[in-house]
Amino acid sequence: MIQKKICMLGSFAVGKTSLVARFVSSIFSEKYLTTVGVKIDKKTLAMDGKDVTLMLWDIYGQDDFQTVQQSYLRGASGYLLVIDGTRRATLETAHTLHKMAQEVAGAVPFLVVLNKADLAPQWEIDDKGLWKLAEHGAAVVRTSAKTGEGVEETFAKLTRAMIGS
Amino acid sequence: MTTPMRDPILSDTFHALDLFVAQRLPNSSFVAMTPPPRWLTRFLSSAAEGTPVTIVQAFPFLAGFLGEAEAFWRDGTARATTSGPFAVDDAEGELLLRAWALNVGVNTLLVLARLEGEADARPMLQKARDNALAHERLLRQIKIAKAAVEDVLRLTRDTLPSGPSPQHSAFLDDIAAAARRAALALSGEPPKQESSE
Repeated sequence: MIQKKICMLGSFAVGKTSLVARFVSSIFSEKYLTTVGVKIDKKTLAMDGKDVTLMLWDIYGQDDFQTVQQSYLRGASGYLLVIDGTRRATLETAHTLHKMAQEVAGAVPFLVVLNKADLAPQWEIDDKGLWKLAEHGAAVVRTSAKTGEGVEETFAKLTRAMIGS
Repeated sequence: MTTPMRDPILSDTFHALDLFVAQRLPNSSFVAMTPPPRWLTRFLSSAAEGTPVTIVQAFPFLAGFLGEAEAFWRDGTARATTSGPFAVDDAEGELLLRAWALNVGVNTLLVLARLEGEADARPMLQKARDNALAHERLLRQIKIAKAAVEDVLRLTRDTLPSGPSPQHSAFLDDIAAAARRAALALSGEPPKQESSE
């Protein structure tokens, strides 16, 4: 059995916990409940004939009140940088966390997740705004934890990159 | 192998405080020094006093922390280091926990605590982040309102030179003045005295 640690990174209220809940339990709640500390969920995927257990580290959102500790990122096989499409400021936080993740975890696979696709008409971030991340080789995926759009595909894509298949 | 230290009074005290204390042995295994609090028994199948406990299987989050704590224990100079809070699900909902690695004399200890009441930062952070989100929404609304005010001002400026009637001019002047006041209020700058001309 292969086991991989994935860190969910991003500003507060971008939907990290909701993405995990959608992926692991197929549920979604409109109510915003902030994450304090770290919560770990796991899910096993069958990928190209191999069972891969994903340890999903849902790390609290970075803001003025809590700064992400580097130790949480150690041993990560990959990470998702989650951005709220309706809040431009969350892109800057993603840049900061991306740098930290690269320092601590090294050049592991990651994806930029533009979440809240169901609110696309209210988005403040366009493709141009994602250019800075994309130039570092980041693939950008669009998701909605609310509708489930892109969620399974995102985790599958990252898993594939992590196991190198 | 070091024999786990025993002190019934301390053990009862820690239990009364709802804390779990385990001693780290030189082979990096852990032995329970206190009876497990009720919240812990759901996660540890065996945690009776004096028995070995398997912390990492119960709390995968602690794998990283214990790795760092090993260096801390080996060094032995500092008194305490903490894991930061972590959350786990149980039948009663989400529990917020925290671990400490301690050097007490020659003993190396691991303490697990459930964060409740004032130690549980969730209600405070929830309020702070709800307020931060509300503030962000307000800033977005102000931006939209300012753009609308700018539109009114521009339309007013464009219309006035085209020769409106005196009645229209007075009306447009009033709109422009109101728009300027609104723009000033939205900008957050202190109000200025309007000219009486």
